[in-house]
Amino acid sequence: MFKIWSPLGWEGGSSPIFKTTPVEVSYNYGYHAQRQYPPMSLKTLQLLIDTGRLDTHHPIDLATLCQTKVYRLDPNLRQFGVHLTAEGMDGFKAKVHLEVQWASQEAIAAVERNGGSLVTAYFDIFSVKALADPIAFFKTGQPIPRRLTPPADAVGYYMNPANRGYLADPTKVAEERVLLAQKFGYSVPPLDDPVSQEAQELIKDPRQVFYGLQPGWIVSLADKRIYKPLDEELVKHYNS
Amino acid sequence: MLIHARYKFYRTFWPYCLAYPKQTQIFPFNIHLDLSSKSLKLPDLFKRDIPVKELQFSYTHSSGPGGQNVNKVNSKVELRFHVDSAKWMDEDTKHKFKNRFQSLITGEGYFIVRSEKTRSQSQNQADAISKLRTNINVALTPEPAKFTEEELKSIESGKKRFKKVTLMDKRRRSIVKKDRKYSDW
Repeated sequence: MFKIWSPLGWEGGSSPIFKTTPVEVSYNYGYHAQRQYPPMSLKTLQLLIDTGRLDTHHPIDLATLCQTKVYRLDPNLRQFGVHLTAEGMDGFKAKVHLEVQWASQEAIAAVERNGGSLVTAYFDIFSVKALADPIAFFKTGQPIPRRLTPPADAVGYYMNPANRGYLADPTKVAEERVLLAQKFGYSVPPLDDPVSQEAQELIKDPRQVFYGLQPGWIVSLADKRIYKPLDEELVKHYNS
Repeated sequence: MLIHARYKFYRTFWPYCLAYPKQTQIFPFNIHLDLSSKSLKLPDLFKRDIPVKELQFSYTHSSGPGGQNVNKVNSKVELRFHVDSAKWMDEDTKHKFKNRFQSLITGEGYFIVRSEKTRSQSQNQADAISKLRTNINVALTPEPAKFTEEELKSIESGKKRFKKVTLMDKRRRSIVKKDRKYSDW
């Protein structure tokens, strides 16, 4: 899905009005730095699960979605992740553990109503490039990047428990789960035991990009090995 | 620091350990709040939860244009519950609620509210619950305070005094203006 929002006022190539007239200045300031989140609906998600393209027994993040090849992402077009929309929320019946980059309140409610869980997490562009096509990334031989913190205009979103941000306070997230259930009229179903081995798989550290892999490691598909850094400075850098 | 020591998986020293040192549970957050005793920070007067299990929902077709979609999809939501046998409302609130919203309560004592605002059943259900909550808040808002007879008398006498004073000022002013005119005698 290589859709990209064109600049405001763009007229398909001909000189736009705001350029021919001398009044408007800096109309599209910062366009080349704007982050975009191509949407995916709950309808397509349910379809992918029903047709067997997604496995609900494992957590679903950006990498698994891109590997289905139904949802595609181009990081070169400043596309930073998935925006989960609420279309098809009435017919959404799957129990999933999702990690997305943006989600509306209705989508969060539809996921949590069935006993699943949702996290909104920020990935910087180099991490997104790794996630959008992991196999191609591993073939380049680069070490897995250390995920960066969100920029200033995104920190508020990812620290907000209402959005299930990955930097939010857990007790406040629990409160918000209850409030959302109050709003949409369902009882909050209990989650699986969070301390079990399986549940630990669902948890990504804020510096982690892939499940089960740490930043700094080099995954070699040809050798079928993982190369880990031993130098103290590197280890310290990747664990900070 | 606790979390890093306990688990063997990759964990850096931020942000949970430093930002939320008291939290021993990390995502998925399985902390459940007991609603029966706690009042959530809700911006309304009825600061308690409405138990959804004690409300009856029924789903039907919405009205209006829309062809096959509106004919087939059950997006209209009707919410009803028996007011007298509701345990989640105090006697006081029940009394006020019944007085204020007699028109929405049937002869048998059922409160009914319908919603077909959106195309989605879930969102219409949310709308119906919000309507119920706003109605309860409207019933609980206290009546505006009315003035007593003594207070009304003092207000009236005050108005008269003010009018008297303004008239005196006006007359004084008009004399000053007249004195400025040229007069023969």
